[in-house]
Amino acid sequence: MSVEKIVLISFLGALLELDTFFIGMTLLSQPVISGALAGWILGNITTGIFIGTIVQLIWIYPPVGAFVPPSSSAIALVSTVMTLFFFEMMHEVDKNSIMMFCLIIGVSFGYFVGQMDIWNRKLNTIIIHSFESKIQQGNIIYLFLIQLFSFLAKYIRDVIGYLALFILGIPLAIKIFATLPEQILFGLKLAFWIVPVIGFAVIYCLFQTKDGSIFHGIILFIFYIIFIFDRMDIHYFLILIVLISFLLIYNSIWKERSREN
Amino acid sequence: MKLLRLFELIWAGIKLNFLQLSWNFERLQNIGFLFSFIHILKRIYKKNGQDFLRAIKRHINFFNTHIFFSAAVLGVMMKLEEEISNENPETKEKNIEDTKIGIMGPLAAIGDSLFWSGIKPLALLIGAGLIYLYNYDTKIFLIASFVSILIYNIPRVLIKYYLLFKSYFQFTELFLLIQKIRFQDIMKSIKFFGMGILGIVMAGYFNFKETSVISSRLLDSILLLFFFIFIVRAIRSKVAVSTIFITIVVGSVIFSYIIIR
Repeated sequence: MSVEKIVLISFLGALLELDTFFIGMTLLSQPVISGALAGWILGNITTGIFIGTIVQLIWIYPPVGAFVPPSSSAIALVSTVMTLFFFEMMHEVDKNSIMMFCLIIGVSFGYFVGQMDIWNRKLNTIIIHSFESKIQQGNIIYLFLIQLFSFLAKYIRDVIGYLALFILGIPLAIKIFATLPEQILFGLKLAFWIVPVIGFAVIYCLFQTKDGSIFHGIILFIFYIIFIFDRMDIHYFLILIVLISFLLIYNSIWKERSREN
Repeated sequence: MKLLRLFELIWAGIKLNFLQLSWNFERLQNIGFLFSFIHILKRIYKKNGQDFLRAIKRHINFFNTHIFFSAAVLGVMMKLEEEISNENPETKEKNIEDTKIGIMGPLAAIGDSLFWSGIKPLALLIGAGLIYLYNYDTKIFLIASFVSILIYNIPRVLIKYYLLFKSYFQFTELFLLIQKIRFQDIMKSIKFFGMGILGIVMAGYFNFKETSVISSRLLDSILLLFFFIFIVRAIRSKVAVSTIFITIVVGSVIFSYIIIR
């Protein structure tokens, strides 16, 4: 793995990071995409998709008001890069233990990115104070400059953060991992088996209603039995989603409207 | 009355993507909001005129609402800036400020609940679910990312531009429209639909997953279901996701020390 690839991942990862809150919020920064991007650059997209999918549902809470959550995009990206480095260096160790160890590092970095966002928002206040009087005098170019400086502050800081972690953190993490006893490695494997369930529980708590919980239980049971015998074709699943979406829109908007009329 | 050109409205809508770029703890989205329609203020007032400076001072104050629903505030502000006479600046100031404060809060509440607790988790669940149900290859990943981006971005763009045009061209009807739309019913439908999808995804995950600790598929699923219930209870008791994550890691390591001696 070359340094050029690490630099490229850092620049692209920081670009995706902007989409999480600062520009657009288009969902291009969803963990499965950032994980896959890192995996694709490092030549193992499957691992990136695998890690990204697990992270996708766990750290789902958005930044509302002054609340700054950890960056799920950074968690998936860092975990993938770390995992692929470990895979290259350690062939005999269980892959699930490696992925869990790297996920822990990724989660720590994701929380650190959240903390850096708080610093960034404080820095924005300072930038605004410096230029506000000029804007109030009608020099609107300073409005553009505030936006530009805020963009650069966030982007450059994230690039540096990623680069520092990859260059300094990877060798250190590999050394630490090499010293771990068998029990901890098995414990990590066990944790990796449970962790995806956190994502399901988070979504369940977000969508929970009295009727919804019963419906969830029935669907889970029926489809568990169906899946024992056969895997549903992807086209049927997509058609099912489209049909239910139409029913949902009809039921919540048009049916109520026609009732009123 | 100077009617704004269609292109200027669309351009303001595009610039709204940068609403949170210079988010700050003091006045939150103020710079992003002013930035998104400064070109319109410039057109409504003559540049460097006293009225233009007053308008800048008005809109550099506190601003905070949901990023996609901010289009409605923007449309209303453009209309008021254009229509209210400049003969009495203090009355104009008060009218605009009162309207802005009056609509920011309700729009933020609707937007947060609709997007952050409804559409976004649903889109991410369907994206991750497609990967869990099928496999981690590139084709499925591309379909899953495309579907989740589509589910999230179609309502995002439609709501944003609909509100922008509606609030500018039919400003008086906007409040009536907000009252009429049954957000509670829409949210109920999204949650019910989400619970169904979650049931299918969990059934698929339990059946098809590659990582398992116990050789019996049924026993493995029952154990994971037990962890799911335990985590749901923890989240409902307001335990943070990060705490649950750490507890699982630490608990797994302790458990492995007990069974491996």
